[in-house]
Amino acid sequence: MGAPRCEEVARLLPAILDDHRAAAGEVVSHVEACVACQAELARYRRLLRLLAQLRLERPAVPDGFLEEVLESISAAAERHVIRSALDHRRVAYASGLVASVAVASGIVLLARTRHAPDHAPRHLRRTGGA
Amino acid sequence: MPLGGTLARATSRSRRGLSHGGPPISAAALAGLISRARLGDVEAFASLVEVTSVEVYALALRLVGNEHDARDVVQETYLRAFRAIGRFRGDAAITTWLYRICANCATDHLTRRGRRKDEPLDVDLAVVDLRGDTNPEAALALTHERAELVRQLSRLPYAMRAVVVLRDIYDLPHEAIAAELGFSKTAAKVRLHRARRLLREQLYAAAPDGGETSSRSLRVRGDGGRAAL
Repeated sequence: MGAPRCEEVARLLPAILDDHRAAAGEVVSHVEACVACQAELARYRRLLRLLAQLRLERPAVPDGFLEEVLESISAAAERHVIRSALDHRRVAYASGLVASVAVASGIVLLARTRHAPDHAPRHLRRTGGA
Repeated sequence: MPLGGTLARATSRSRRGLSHGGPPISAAALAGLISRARLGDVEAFASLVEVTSVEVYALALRLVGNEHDARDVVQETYLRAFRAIGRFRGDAAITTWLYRICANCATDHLTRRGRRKDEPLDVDLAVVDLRGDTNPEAALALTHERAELVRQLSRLPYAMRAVVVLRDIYDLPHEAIAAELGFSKTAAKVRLHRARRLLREQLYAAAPDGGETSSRSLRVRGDGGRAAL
């Protein structure tokens, strides 16, 4: 690559501001030797300083706005509490149902197991008796 | 815990003037609030809102450009934050986390409203400058330059404006910006560099091949020293 021209360097400067180590050696050498490109770099740096300073400016927050935000969070929190209570109740109902079904199934199974010999085919019972 | 009482107390604190930028808070106190909020303490979360709301509102205003939309975006930001605070791990500052949510909400809000994202903003809101420059002439020139910068910033298309605001004003990492705005990291960088180039061209008219810095930045409205956001 030959020595870069000012226009090419100018195109690269917005990216170089983020990470000057990413700049190619030729570009760095050019900027070091070129007053115009140094001035351009200075303008970009000034721009970034001004932008950073904007963070210190505070807008006038509308009257009552914070109260509105807090109210909406309050409403969301209420909904959350109600939803969790309902969820807990739903889980309790579901658990009760599952437990009832399990107990009923167990009883049925037990009853069938106990009465199983009576239901065996007659020829088997006879064979077993002999 | 009765929520009505919690928020009533928080609201009454704000009416006593402790809100809107909030009282200075130590890092330890802030960490304590975050820990309590993560465990579901609504009052702690309300206090977090108090100490961060001005900055979040300022970001929302810079992104969406008018008070009405900014209010909606901030409301949504805090509601999402409230639902997600339990998952906040503290890898980044709480404000950075809130900025990310705010950027995401602003993008969603503009998309939902069907507003053209490249629509320039019409922003001319009074702000309070916290720095207090001492040299009146230099302060006035700087104020005008900043006002022109803000004006040019507001004229950028949304995607470019959002990227430059989040990166160069709020110092968010490229990855976070890309994630919240729905771009690739490369696309976010390209937009950032294009936005910087446009701002530089508008603010300083001098060509890159040398010459004087333009006074365009000083040709701004006579606004009595009130900078615009």
